[in-house]
Amino acid sequence: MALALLALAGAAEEGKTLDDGRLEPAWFGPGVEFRTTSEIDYVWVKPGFSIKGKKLRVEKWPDPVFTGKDRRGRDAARAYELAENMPLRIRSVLRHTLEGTAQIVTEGGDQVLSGRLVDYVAKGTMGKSNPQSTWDIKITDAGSGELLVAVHHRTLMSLSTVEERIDMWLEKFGKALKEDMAMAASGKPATS
Amino acid sequence: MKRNWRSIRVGSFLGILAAGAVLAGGEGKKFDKGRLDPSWFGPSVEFRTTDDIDYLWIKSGFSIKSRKLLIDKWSDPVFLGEERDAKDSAKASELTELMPSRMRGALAATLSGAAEVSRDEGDIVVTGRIVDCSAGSKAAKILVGMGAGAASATFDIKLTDKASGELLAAIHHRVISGTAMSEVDDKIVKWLEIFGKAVHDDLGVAASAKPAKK
Repeated sequence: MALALLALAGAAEEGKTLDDGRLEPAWFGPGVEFRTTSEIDYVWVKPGFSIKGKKLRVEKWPDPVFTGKDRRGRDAARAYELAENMPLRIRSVLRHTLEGTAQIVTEGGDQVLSGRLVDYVAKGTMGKSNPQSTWDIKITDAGSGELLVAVHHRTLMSLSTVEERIDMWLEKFGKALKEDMAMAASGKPATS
Repeated sequence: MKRNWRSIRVGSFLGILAAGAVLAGGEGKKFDKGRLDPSWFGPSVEFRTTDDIDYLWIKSGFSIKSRKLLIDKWSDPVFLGEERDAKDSAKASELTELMPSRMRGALAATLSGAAEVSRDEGDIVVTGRIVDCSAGSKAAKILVGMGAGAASATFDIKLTDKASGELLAAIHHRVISGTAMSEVDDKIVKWLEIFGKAVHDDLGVAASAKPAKK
């Protein structure tokens, strides 16, 4: 009886999705236990991770995959545009925040940063929509392919433009990276 | 009688001259004040006007169903309307870079389940160009209003069969942002969604459209 109840509880837990289904753990790989923090919505870091002295290659992003709700054509239009720009934005910000700590390279490298957009709501007229953007970022070891860092985050755009909000967040992310993502340790286990 | 014959001949001559003048005047007229250059699309394109797409032509029997659209890069802007300044030109170049990815997104969403969209391969090539652009002025929109400082972008889009190069659809359209509540970019993505829905319906909207007048 007890075993049956445990199995049911486990099944319910497995059925739970993070960030209303926008966070798809399979994209990152197995063994990722996300934590929630004030600056990064969902983060996981491999114990012992360090960016210090490393060369980080920022890869192109693939076309967006809407893992949550279906979005309108206008949202997708903006999302595809943003996905093309993200690698350049990340390179620009990280070159600045990681200066003296790690090097950002376009080829080769010790670690690879890749990402994708998983949701986007474009600005609407008369405030009818709630513009937002959600993305996944992961850092893997260039040699082994092993996952080192997993990030899932959403920004809401109210008064600022999408670009301003994203650049602000990227700066925070860059500073966290500079500290080897130590902030993840103070995060709470993600439950929803 | 002889006099009558001469007057008929003079009358006919004047008539021919007048007809020639009308014809020349007609030929001199252009679509969308010269912004629409039919030669970019190819011969035998008879544009029609619709509510959602300013000028549209489709090949008879055109269908998007189960096709794969290759969204190609856009050609450099060509200003076919009035003279524009450096700011307008810069905006046109920016839009030229952005349009393929925006179009890929809008069409991927609106054609989902009907056709595929790709940046690398496909059997229908979709490309375009900006033919007029005004960056506008946000300050004039706010301070003056009444259309002052309006931003606009006018563009051509064509769909061609990749294998034969045959033109399948021709589009010429202008979007305008007349108030400070919107940017021309917002108007473009909204129109792309409308365009995507029309493509989903095989651009059937052309059938009920009226022939374009110069």
